[in-house]
Amino acid sequence: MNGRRRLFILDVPENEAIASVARDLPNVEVNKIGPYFVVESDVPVSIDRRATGVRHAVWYSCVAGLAGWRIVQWDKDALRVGER
Amino acid sequence: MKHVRVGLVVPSSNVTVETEMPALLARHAEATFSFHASRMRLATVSPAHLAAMNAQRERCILELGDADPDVILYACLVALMAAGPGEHQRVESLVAEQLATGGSEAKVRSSAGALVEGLRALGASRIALVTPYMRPLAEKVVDYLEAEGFDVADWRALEVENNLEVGCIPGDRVMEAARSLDLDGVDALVISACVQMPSLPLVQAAEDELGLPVLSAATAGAYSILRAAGLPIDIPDAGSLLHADSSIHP
Amino acid sequence: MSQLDDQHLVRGVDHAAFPTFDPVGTVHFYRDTLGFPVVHSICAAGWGSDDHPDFIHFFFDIGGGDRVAFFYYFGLEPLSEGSKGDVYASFGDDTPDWFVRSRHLALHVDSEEHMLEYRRRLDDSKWPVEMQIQHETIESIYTHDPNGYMVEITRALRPVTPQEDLDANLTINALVDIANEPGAGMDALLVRKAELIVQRAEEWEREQAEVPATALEASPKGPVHA
Repeated sequence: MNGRRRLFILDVPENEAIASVARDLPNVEVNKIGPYFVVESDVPVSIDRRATGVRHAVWYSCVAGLAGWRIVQWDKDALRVGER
Repeated sequence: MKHVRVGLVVPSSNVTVETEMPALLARHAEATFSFHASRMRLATVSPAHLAAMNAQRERCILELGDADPDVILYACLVALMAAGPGEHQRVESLVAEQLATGGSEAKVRSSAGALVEGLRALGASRIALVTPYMRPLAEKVVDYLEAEGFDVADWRALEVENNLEVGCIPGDRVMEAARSLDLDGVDALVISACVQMPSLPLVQAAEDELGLPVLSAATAGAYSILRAAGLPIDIPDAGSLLHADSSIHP
Repeated sequence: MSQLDDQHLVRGVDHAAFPTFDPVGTVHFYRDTLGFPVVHSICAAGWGSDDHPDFIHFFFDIGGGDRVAFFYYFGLEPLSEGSKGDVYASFGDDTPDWFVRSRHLALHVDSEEHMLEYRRRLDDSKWPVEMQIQHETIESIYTHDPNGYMVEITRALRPVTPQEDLDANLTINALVDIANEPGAGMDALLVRKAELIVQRAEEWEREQAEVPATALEASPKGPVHA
């Protein structure tokens, strides 16, 4: 596996705003594998919930997969991933 | 010797089923039979009264289920046939469902279904009937059998409306009606398409005299019960249907 | 090997059955409040080897040819005694509510208008709606029937997409792979699922492009085997 770490999010309408906020973060690339957004970075990523505007039900079910990251924080403020 | 417990659902004024079925099945060489009847109130054989009688079916099956019978015969032919084609299959399914839901293993048969089964076992396609009914009900019986694929060549309606009186119709009157039928090309004669009109002594006599297979609702019912119980069909003096498994045919 | 081998042959819920000790209340709830017709009943006794009471087994239509059914046993006293749960299964005070609610029957409606109509019927009855919640892609109302069984009426906020079918299958394949590992949790599932995404997702997308648009409408295609 390469050094980049990834967070996977399914590409459905409700999740577009989350991918969009991630895309605007420094040091973060958002690509696609099939119907999944792949949020890739060398450094820990933090996505602000309020910036996405999504409802709680959508927020708390948005992560489809983790490679190299672990979830450090996932609450009403942010989704933050960090080193394993 | 095998013993078969037979549950009977009968119209309340019926006395013939409980007379003819035991008499017939007592002639079986390989098994003994006991009969346990539950009654549905009926006095007048009219469509409205027959429909009201059918509504008591659930209670009757509950009562009989308690006795753990091997087979239950729903013994009112015209009550089913008057409701229209396919009725015996529908009612047999409902009774079977009711028994199965309560964990009973009793097999289910009906006189209407047995008559069809008996005619098919004889390979009959063109048939004639004697019935005790008023004409409109007799026509329903004819229609029912035609819907099952039989060609009813000729039939009689003796027009006796009171069910107790049906149980007293003299054998001579039934034989006279049978003799009056046009039996040209007929494969089998149903000498009584009714489980209340007595006919047991007439079945073999009519077969001998008229020279074709003769059955009744009662002999067909016995045939069906024996098949359900897995017993050989070999009963003397009651027509060729009940000799299906005999080693010597008359 | 039969020619039926790969076919999904079942046709929904013939009946989902539950016991009741209150047939009158049950009929008032399903038939009279929700308007679900009574479509069948069987009157039977306990004729098998167990000694059990006479009973009525009765069925309400819940749409699509599916039915919810109840058993009412004459003379039977309620068996469960806990403070939480329903007449079938009850639980002590310290059982979490989220666990108690994890078994329920959810019925589908096609629109917000229909969901609100059932809301109206329930709110006019002895069993008003207890919660109305929007989840990720569905919105639901909830109440409990006279037996304590939780009933949900739910509508989709949008049609299911094909990628959600894929995602569900990948989740389940990942779950089957890790659930029996000691200490496995959501993290292990998400890690395994990421591996499956990398293995499968692009190929899936290529296959989707080859299928005509009409075949992509939501329909059960059977399991995506690992």
